Amino acid sequence: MGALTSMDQEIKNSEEFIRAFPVEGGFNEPVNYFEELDADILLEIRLRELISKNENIEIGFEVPGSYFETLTEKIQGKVEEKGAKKIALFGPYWLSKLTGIAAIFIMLVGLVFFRSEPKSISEIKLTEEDIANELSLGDLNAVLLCDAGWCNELEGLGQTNKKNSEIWIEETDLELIIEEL
Amino acid sequence: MSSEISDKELIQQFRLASLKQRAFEQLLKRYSRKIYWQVRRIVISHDDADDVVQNTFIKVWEKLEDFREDSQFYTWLYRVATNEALAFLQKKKADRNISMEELQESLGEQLVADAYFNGNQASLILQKAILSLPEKQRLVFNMKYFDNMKYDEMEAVLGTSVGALKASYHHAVKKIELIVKESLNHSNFGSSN
Repeated sequence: MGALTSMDQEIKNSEEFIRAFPVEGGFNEPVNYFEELDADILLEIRLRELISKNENIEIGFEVPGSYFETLTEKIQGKVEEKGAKKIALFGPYWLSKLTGIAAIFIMLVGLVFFRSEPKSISEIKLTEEDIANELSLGDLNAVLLCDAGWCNELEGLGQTNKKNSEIWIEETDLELIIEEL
Repeated sequence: MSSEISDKELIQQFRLASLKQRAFEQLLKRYSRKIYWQVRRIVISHDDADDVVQNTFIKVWEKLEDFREDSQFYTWLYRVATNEALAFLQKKKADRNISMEELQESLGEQLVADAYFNGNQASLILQKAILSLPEKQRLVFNMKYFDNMKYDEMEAVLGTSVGALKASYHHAVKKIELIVKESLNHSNFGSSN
């Protein structure tokens, strides 16, 4: 009880101090606010009552018949139309410009290369050494012999050599052949 | 004996379809101002208070038929309005993603530029001091200091015991006294804004 009395006294002292603080004015409200507030609340309630009693009354905007059935198609059409307008056929301007420059460069390089390379057979100068490097000894002999009119004999000789080889294989001991190899 | 019709009689009339509208109008006229000021001290801004008061009375219209009269009508109305105001602040806090302390601080800052606040510097300091209190202490302080409510009435509204309410009020007045004393050491008062 003593503690409560002490608390009550402290509350009383603090309240007196706060009330002595020179407070003037404070919250206020617009002119005629409370008259309008009551009217607004009553209007809102009447409106709600009206709606709840007459559920068939549709207060608000109306849309044309079958509007929502065609709405999706219309939006899709618009989206596609917008999309087509936005897609650039050749990409950004800088990219097409760069591509053009690269194409011209390749064409110039190709032009230089092909113009410097092709020469007629008469223009090609081959030394005997070049030919010797390219041909084996067998090729050279065969060509020379053919040029000299020995082509038929050369073929016959090849077949004879083959027959002779087969006969030799048949007559020779297998071990000797292995040793030869 | 007062010729004014009592709240209890108005509630009985409200339950009759033919008298419902008129009874509600009477209750509205009787309590809209009191409820506005109670709500205004919680939400601070006039526009916010306007929204909360309208929502409060629309709820009263919807729920009054179910009111069981265990408590006085005004206590019940006060509770509905307080809950609406606190829910409004909670929503505001959630929308801004800030704490209740931060919200109350911002409400204090808004007060300076509020077209419907004409208090002097002392009034502004007092309001900011009240806004620095925790939510429950702020409610208790407003009810006791401005509305002069009794602790048992506050108990019915807030659902808190009389002892706890008295302790809350004690903390609140001590803190406000301290803030006011500190401000007195730094400023001059008495001139209107």
